[in-house]
Amino acid sequence: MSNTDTVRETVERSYNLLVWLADEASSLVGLYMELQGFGDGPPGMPGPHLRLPAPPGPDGEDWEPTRRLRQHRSASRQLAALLGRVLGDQRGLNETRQHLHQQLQLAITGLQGLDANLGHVLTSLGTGQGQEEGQEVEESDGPAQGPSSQASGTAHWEAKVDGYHIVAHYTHWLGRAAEDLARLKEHLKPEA
Amino acid sequence: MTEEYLEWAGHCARRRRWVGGAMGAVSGDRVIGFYIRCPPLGVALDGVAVVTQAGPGIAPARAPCRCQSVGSDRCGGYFFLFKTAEILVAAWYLLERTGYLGAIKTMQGYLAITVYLYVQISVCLRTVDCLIGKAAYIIPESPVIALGSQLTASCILNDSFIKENKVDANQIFWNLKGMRISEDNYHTVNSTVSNVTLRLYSVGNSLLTCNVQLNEDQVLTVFGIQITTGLPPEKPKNLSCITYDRKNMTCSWNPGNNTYLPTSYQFKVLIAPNNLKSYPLPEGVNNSYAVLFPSIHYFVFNTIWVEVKNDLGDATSDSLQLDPVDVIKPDPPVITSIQQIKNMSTVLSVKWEKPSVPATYNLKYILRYKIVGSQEWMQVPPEDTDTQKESFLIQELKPFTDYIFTIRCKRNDETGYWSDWSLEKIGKTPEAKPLRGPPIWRTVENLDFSKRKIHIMWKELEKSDANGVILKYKMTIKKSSMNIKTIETTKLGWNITVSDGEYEVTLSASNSAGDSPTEILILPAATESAFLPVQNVSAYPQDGQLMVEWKPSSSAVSGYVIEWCEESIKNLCPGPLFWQTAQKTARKVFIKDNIMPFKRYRITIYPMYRGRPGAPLSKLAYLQQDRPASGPLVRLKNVGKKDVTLMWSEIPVNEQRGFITHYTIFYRNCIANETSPSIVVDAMCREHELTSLKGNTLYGVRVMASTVKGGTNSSEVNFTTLSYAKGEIEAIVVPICLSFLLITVVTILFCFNKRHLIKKYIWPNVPDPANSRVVEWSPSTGNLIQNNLGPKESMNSDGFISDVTIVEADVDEEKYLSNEDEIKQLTSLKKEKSTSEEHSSGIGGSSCMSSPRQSVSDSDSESAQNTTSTVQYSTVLVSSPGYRCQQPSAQAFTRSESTQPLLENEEKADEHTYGNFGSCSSEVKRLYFKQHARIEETNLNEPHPNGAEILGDTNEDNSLRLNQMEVSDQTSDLEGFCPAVDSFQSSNNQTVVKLEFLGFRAGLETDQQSYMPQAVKHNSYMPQSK
Repeated sequence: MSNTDTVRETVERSYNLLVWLADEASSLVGLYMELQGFGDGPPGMPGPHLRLPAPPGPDGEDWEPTRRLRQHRSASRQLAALLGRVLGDQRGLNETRQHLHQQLQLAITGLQGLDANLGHVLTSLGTGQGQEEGQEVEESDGPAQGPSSQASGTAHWEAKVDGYHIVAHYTHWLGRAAEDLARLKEHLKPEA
Repeated sequence: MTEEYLEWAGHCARRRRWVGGAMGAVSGDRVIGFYIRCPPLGVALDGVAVVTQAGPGIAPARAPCRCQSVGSDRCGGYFFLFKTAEILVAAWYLLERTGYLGAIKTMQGYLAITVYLYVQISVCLRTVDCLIGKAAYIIPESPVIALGSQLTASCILNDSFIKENKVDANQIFWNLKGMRISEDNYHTVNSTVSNVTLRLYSVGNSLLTCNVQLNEDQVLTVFGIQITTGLPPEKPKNLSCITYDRKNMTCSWNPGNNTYLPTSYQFKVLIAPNNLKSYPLPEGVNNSYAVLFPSIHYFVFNTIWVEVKNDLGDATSDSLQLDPVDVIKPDPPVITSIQQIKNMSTVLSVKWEKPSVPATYNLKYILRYKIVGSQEWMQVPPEDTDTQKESFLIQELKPFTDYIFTIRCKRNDETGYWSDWSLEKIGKTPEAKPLRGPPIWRTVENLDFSKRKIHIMWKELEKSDANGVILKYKMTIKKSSMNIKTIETTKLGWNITVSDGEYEVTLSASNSAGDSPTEILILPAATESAFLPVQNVSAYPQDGQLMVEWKPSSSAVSGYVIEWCEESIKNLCPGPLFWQTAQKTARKVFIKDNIMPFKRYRITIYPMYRGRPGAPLSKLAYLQQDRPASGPLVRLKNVGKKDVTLMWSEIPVNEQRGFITHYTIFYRNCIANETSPSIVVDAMCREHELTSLKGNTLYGVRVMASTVKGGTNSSEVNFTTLSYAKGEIEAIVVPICLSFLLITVVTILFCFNKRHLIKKYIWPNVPDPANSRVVEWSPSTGNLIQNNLGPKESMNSDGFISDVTIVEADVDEEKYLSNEDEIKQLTSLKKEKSTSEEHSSGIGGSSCMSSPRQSVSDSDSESAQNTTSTVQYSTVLVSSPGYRCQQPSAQAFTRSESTQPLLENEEKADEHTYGNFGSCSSEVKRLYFKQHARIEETNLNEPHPNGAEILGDTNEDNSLRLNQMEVSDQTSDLEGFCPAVDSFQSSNNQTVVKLEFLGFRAGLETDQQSYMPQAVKHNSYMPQSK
């Protein structure tokens, strides 16, 4: 299999991954709001300390695949970390809501996979960032993420609100990223 | 001294973990030492030693282990250090609390002291080996070696032990698993060290002990170690993974051989250089691991491998690179509904729900179905369902039929695995018109010459033909194309009486969808001859059913009807009649129902010619045969001397339980208890003749009727053969009788031929007194005679009558008898005579001339007496000279009795001759009868006073014999005339004979010519001859 084919296949997988994640996340926001008690509508603005990854810019003539891939990879890492924090919060706040935990974990795992795929693509394209030495992690069934802050009433509310915005941003970002990957897929499609 | 080695398991109180490697030794009943190896950094100050494996006679037990009590200097020293550090820590805490330790109240100082104490305590604890009576130690302490590899161990004696016991390393010997190791395998390095070299070929734990021979009788085990033998891990092979969506990704591999050692497995997943996850396998699992959802990285290439490690080495499997999505085995789809399509009886719509699979994951399906109860599945091609639609119309189904549906799926790009089959769901197609009319048949009963009772019967349609629930049957009966009856019924039969003509019966079945085609049955006219029958019908069991096979006789056959019934009586089916149909192409068919084993069935096949039955052909058959339930009933037809004819009846059909193939006859001599060889006769035989038997012998016989499954004996019939064969007696008696008869006839003929001689001797000529010359010769006497007898009676020449023979002609006795008394006397005498004749057999048997008819019966006798030809003779026996009317001094009478008929001319002559003799003769006769009657009345059977025996009737023949004997004596030419003549025994016979034959001889001596006064020439007058 040639390098181009590898890139093309990896992009294809990344696109499918994003579609799958978007499909799985379609009910995530509703589930999250339901479990947090946000029945009357989305809460207010996130706290200023919450730094969400910037969504991909509008499509333009300056659309450059490598740069967009790097952005998506960075965003996926950032979102995986944020979602990890949300998962940690929710394991403390809604200890028995296994379905929510599973959805969040699925999102995190998916983003990690997307990061890996994009890293493969960037490496294959020769624009990959320096390989980071992996740290072997002994996996267990226990929590992988801890709570983001000390448990208090205010913190709980802020965690819930931040979590909502993170989840919402994640679902939104998935759509935009999928569009970009679809465009990249088309870009990499061999000419007939 | 006995020495036993024990294995111990130590228990360190604080860690709550059992540790191995404890061992010890006992001498006799005394535990002479053991130790417990505590874990690194463990605190095994208090523990319990448990005997887990003991030697013979030592029961498992527990014993306390207290390191504090060990007398080891080193252990005690470390213990002291530990305690000191503990005191220091406590003092430090107190100082800090009290604030006096400001100078060292810094973080660094606190940390330094803590580290110092930890190191000290650790050093102590690492070397704390609780040893009771420790005198030496072995290096290495807990070796793990590969199977078959070499191990070298050293036993180092403690100096204090050496000094105390005054021993050195030369006194060391080694034991492995309780067995002393050969000296070739160990050697002494110096005074304190002994080295042993081992090579172990068995896996598991082995106890190696170092022992010291203290003296001749005393041995001390000073130390022991546990050697663990195992194998290094093999490289895991055949790593593969399968993803159960939303559940887990399970990877499995072949771990290779057992290592017999604690071996750890690590399952590794790498999705990126900086993202490696390692999953340790739980204890006891070495061949698979499942990564749980949602930690599975979908749509990412995962690099997966397995690492395995133990004390003898490690190994890593080949890595497997895969995307978990590509190895998904989806859950099976769920069939949600199966629906009928209106007005389409052969179509069903199947709908299902696809399983949960990742988005962008397209599935393909395999839908299969079958009729309920059948084994064969039909399958919708996968390309027909390779769409995202989740329903399908299945066509060409059978109407009114239950179908089972099931479905499975797989990713449509050929990756991954097929799901399991879904749960089965049943759907039913709508009804349709019946495919064919019901099979129809009839039985015919002729009522009289012109009437027939027809029972028309039909069968329910098979489900596959009925296409629904049959609601009713429509039957039409036609004669000459004219409807004479139309019937609608739900029953399966109909009776009708018809005349002697041809009828046509049509039958159809109806369900909710419509009517079936009609089935036709022709009832031919009674006088019509049937069409050709089938040929070569055979019936035989096959696969537990009865197979009927035939050959068609005509190509015009449109089908067959097979009819059968149980023939419980010969040639008769009293039970119900069963039937079934077969297609025209059929050449054999199984009889399905109402067939029982051991029953005889009459199977009849009718070829059908467009509804018209052909001539039947029958065959008898059994589904299963058995030996007869009873034996035949045996009877004896004829019993002879050396043969007997047996008859037996046929066993009733319902007891035969099979076809009788033959009969076997067993018979035995009951007296000699000899069993003769059995005789096998054909099944058609009903009787058999046993030959070569012994006469007058008791025999027992059984007849066994046999089928192919065996035979059953009859009850035993006993008979005794005859002593003589039939006709054997006759064969003896008849020749004898014939011979006797022949002899008799010959004798009679002979006598007939010699009758003159016989007459001459038996009936001598009676001299005629009228012509006697005595009269002429003696005038006085002649006067007297003439006065008394008549002038014509002659006298003997010697002048006196020596013998008087009275010839009693039974012409008319009363003529000769003067009065009634004399008649009565004579009648009485006759009766007596007759009675005596009844008891006499000597006359006929010994007298040649006597007739056997004389002694047959009274009537015969009487008839003989009444005949005019019967003559009685009496002879007057005179004992002293005297003649005629002279009274002898003593006289006796004997009577000669003969039935010799007188010749007619003789009678006439007598009449004529004795006519003159009448007065005298009547006198004499009266005298005779009077005397005779008197004598018989008084002296019957008594000897005569003069010695002459009075011969009664029974001796009359003797008198004849007497006469004959005299004749024989006097006349030699008569010898041999009468055979079987007995000698007469009498003391006075001579006198009698002489008296009797004097006259006769005189007669003979006289001229015979002169004796025949009747002018009958010699040989022409034969008064006694016939």
